[in-house]
Amino acid sequence: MGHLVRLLKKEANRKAVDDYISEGLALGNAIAAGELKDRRSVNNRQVADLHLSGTSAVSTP
Amino acid sequence: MSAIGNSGLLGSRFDALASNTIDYWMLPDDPSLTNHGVLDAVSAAPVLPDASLQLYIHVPICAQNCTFCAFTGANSISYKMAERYSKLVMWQLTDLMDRVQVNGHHISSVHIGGGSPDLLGSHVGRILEGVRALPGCTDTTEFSVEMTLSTTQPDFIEELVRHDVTKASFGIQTLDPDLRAHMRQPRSLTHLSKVLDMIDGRIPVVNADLITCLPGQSLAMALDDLQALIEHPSINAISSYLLTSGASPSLIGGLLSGALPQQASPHDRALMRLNTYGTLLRQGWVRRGTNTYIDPSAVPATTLDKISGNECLGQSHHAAFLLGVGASAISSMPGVRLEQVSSLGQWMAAAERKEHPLHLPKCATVPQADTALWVFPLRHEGLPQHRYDWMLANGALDDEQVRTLRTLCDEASCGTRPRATNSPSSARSSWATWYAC
Ligand SMILES: C[S@@+](CC[C@H](N)C(=O)[O-])C[C@H]1O[C@@H](n2cnc3c(N)ncnc32)[C@H](O)[C@@H]1O
Ligand code: SF4
Repeated sequence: MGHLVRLLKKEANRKAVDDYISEGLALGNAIAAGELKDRRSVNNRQVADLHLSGTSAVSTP
Repeated sequence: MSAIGNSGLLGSRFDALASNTIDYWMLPDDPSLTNHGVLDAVSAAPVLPDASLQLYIHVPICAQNCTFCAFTGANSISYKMAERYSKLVMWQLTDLMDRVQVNGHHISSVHIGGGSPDLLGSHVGRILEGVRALPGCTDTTEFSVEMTLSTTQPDFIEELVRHDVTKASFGIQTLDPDLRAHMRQPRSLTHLSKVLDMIDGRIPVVNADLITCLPGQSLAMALDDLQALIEHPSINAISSYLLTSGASPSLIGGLLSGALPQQASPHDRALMRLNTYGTLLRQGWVRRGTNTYIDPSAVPATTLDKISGNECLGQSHHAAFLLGVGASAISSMPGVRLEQVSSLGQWMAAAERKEHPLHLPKCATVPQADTALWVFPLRHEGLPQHRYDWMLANGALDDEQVRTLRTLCDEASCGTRPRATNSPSSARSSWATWYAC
């Protein structure tokens, strides 16, 4: 259903959702690359920038 | 399915299931917002003709650390802290209620979720009692409470029973011990029978959550789990979720690094969703909220009528008020999105000072008048005609949205054409069973 939700959203608001998904992917990549410790605090997306700073990951496409 | 005529998965236009998120309601960051500005927008949120009111209380504590879960919060809470947190969420809820113009309207549902609300122990009674006393709370208000099987204790269940809770809900995710271990869940499900014994038939709806498309899960395993729960004598509701890998960086990391087994093929994953919904519908179970199916032969009709359900925890339409309190909670109402800070310590310290601890970068004061359009694939009621008409009459939809809706209706309708105003509601059942999975 995520496909339909995304397609039916206005362009600008669709981007906010896409960016959030990309940010999760960037965090996951950093964990897989051993650049970020796999701890519960990684789920705290209010400080995602902090987690990603110092890794080679980029949070937006 | 070939009648739809596309070349993607199961005849659709898509090659894979979506990269879901648990929060479709988010808006771009707005660095100019202030606490005052957001709270002023809360007070200004208009009560439109189609207004509704739902409450959500978040409990950011959980002793488990499941790989797939987006949960962020504390591992444990002392008796004293649980008492303090319960008081503070009630302060925040009553304060927010005093601010909103919708105060006094009927409260259709109250959801206490987490995390693991069971870790509040008997203090949950204070919250339930406080909410029951709010204006707008009536006998027809749904009360649903989540819990984690491994940490639920009898004193917590007794409070739920004492306060007439409508629905108790817990995660099982999968019955397979190996998959459970991969997901950092207890291998065995001994806690299930213990909790069901504690409930002892005294809460009308007992809901179990399942997740499909877990790493290492085959189509047969997912359908076996579903059948076992359908046949379970003490479970009369099932929520089936599509694994949202985007919610949990840990899960993505494990899949990418090979630490977790791979997921089934895109085709089998699509079949898991289609067959899950198809099986529940064939059994005569009825859908409520977003992902929940209830056995109508095991739940009194008056209880079933109460259940609005809102597992995705976002507005169903622009006029809806969803007030969320507690650390990490999100509220949405006409023209406002309000997100609380996720740090429990920070949240409690600010709430003690009678301040609303908002995480401003994720708050917004931009109306999303088109909400009912893009939320409808998630919702059991589809898109009611009056909401579609309201959006058209109020200029809420742009041309691209109307065109997209028409095209999707044509692809999914399998012979049922929308009515003159292009209402998608007539195509609801085919969307629910296939496209909307
Ligand atoms: C956040 S939990 C709270 C309930 C309780 N702590 C428990 O696990 O029993 C609510 C439900 O969300 C679902 N869930 C959590 N993370 C998910 C994910 N990444 N994808 C899909 N569903 C998920 C699970 O089915 C879980 O039982
Ligand atoms: S799924 Fe439930 S038990 Fe597992 S970590 Fe999330 S909140 Fe805790």
